[in-house]
Order: sequence, then C-alpha cells, then structure tokens
Amino acid sequence: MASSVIIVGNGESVLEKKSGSYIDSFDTVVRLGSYVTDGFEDHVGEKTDIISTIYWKLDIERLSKTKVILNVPLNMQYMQEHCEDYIDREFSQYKSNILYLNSKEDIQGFIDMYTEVLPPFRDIDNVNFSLGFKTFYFIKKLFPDKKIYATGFDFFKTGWYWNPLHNRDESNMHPYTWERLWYAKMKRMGNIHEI
Amino acid sequence: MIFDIIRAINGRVKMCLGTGSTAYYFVENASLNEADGSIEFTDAVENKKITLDKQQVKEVSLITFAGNTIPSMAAMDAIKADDHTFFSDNEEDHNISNKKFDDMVDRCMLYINSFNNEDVTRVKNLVVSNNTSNLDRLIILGSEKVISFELATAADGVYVRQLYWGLINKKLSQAIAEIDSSIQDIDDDEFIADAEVIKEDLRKNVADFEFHMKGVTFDKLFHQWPTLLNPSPFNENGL
Repeated sequence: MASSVIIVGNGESVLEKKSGSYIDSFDTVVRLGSYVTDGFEDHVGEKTDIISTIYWKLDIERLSKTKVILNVPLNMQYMQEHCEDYIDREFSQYKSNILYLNSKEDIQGFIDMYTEVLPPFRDIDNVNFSLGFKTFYFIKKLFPDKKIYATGFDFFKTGWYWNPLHNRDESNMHPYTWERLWYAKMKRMGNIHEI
Repeated sequence: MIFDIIRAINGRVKMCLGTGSTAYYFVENASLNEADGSIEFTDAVENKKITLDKQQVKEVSLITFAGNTIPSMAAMDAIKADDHTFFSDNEEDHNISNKKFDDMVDRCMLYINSFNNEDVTRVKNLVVSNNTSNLDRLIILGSEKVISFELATAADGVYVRQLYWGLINKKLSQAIAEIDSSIQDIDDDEFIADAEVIKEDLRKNVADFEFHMKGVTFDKLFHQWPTLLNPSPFNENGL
C-alpha cells in the first residue's frame, strides 16, 4: 500500500477482523497513545512507523525506535513550555524522532477540519478534541498527498481492545459523539477509508 | 492596634473584615470614628451599611489578598508621621490585592444572584476561604439554593441528584436535536442511517450510565459523565 497511511485506533472493533498482515503492508502505520501489539498481532499487526500520543505518556523505548507526534492537550496549552522542557530533558537524544508537536495554532485547524464537513456543534470552540480525532488532522497536515485508511475507531463506544473494561465515564471535554459523526461523514465522502 | 492598621491602609488597600468565624464583610468607604473607636463602612457585596463598635473592631480579623499589604510597626510609625514610602514601594502588591478583592466581590455577586440572594453569609465565607467548587457545581446544575455537600440532608441529596439527572437528560435532548440539525440538509441516506446509530448509542450510553451511577457519592458523581455525551459541563476535576 504505497503512498498510503493507516491510523490504527484503539477501539475493540479492531478485533472484529484479522487484518494484521494487511495493516503491516501499509507504507506508514500510525498508532495511538499506549497502544499494544503483543498478543494482538493477527488483528492489529506489528509494524509501527508513527506514534501519536500525549507527551507525558511517551515511552522512551518506543521513541528510540519510532517517529512520534506529540500532543499537549488543548485545555492544557499552558503546559506547552513544560512540554518543551520535558522533551529537552528526557528525550534530547531522540529529538529528531519527534515529527510534530502541536501548538495553539492547531486549535483552529481542528475546528476547521470538523466544520469542513459538518456544521459546528455547541461549544466547539471550547472542547478538547480527542487524540484520535487530532491524529487525523496531524496526518493530513504531515502527509497531504497520502490516502488515509483507518481501523479501530469507535470513539469510545467500547473500551480499548487490550482492555475492554477501560471506559471514559469521567468528566472530560472530548466530544466523542461529534467526532464519530464526523468520522462517519468522512468515510461517506471517501476521505477516510475504513478497512 | 487593628484600628490603627485599618486607619493606615484605608482607601489604599482593600480589605475584608471577619467577625467570629462565620461573617465576612467586604469593606468599602470605611470611616473611622476616632472618638469612640468604631468603624462604619458599606459591605460591597450586600451594599449594606455596617457599623462595628470598638469591642467588635478589637475582635475582627483583617484579610488582605497579597503580601506587603499590612504595614510593619516601623512602617506604621512612618505612615503616622506622614514620612513613608510604604504605598509607593508596594504599589504592585497592593494592586494585586485590590484586584483579588474586586474579583471576590464579583464572584460573591455571581453566586448570590444565582442562588436567589439566599445564603449570603455562607457564600461570602466560601469565597473568602476559596472553597467554591461546590457552588460552581450547584450553578451548573441549576440549583436555586446553596447546599453544603458535607452537611447535606437526605432531602438535599435527593434534590441534587434530581438536578444532576435532569441536567444529563437536558444535555442528551440537546445533543440529539443538534445531531438532527447537523444532518437535516444532507442528502445521503447511508450517512443519515449512521447518524441514527450514533444517536441510539448515545441514548444507550446515557441509560447505562444512569444505571451504574445509582447511589454513588456526590464527589464521584461530579467526576463522572456519560462518555458519549461529552463534552461534560464539569471539568476533569469535577468542577
């Protein structure tokens, strides 16, 4: 799958098919947060080219081997400076593996990505889009010419595929239902290809 | 002594006066009666004239909101002799303190208006002690009265929970209506079918949440929210 990128989400729907080999055949495989592949290779594959993660969840072992996209949550942009210090302190030798660090300017980019396909929802200016949603934005920005594929995105209708009990019933600002609506629309428009 | 300090900073550094452990006054336009040792002022929150007699003044606690706002003994002597730089040297701290005072008055007004002017004393206490998270929660819930979660009666508990579930159901209806409005002009039957599934999952998520959250403590209640109904009106800290 040359010139194509696949974003592997962490939802349990990824276990519905044994797509591991197919996922590994993509030119670029992107995984999210604290993803797991061990024991799930048949379903999610093994290859990882890019990890998109919240910066404080970054694992130095993984960074040493893989390119990363780092996120500072938008409701914590005041921590941007801390993030940069943290990278300098903890990951200085692997800085070249950091493909992208989000910034305040991206906030409008996320909103624009949503409103390009659907009308804005209430409080869209104040939400903190989830890592999964933001990763579509980063990948579109970094690889504008690549065809985007995806799997394992149910926007927390289920838990994580390696931990189905994981739920997000704590108060937070991630607008999962709206993101899921956006994802459905993107699929219908042929902008995201779900495998 | 307290009378002397109030005289020294009056008009320059805004102050709260606490009487006992329950009542706080936000002092505005204070005038000091040198003859009988009393103080008269307007409480900025309640817009009410207050007079404290000499004995009451002796017992008040004086609260300002930044460092270098209460003059030292030496500075007091210098102020008395009108030969001092206390206010010019500490202007920045005094501005910070006065700004915090004004913010607190504004917050008190916001809470008092939200709760129909009831429980003014309790509101002021909570604002001065910077313990307003429950007030913020109650406002989000649309409560008409101040409730101390720690001291809540069974009836208070029922009232808060009714408001909480009412808020969830209101947000659910809003979200469903918004999804409907988002898709109304889209001529794509398959996408509309997807949207119907999303709406159904949202309803189910809220119903499951309500089932699992029955009987949980207040504190846990405010840290939780149905996942698919996010963004939550409460933040990650339950505020």
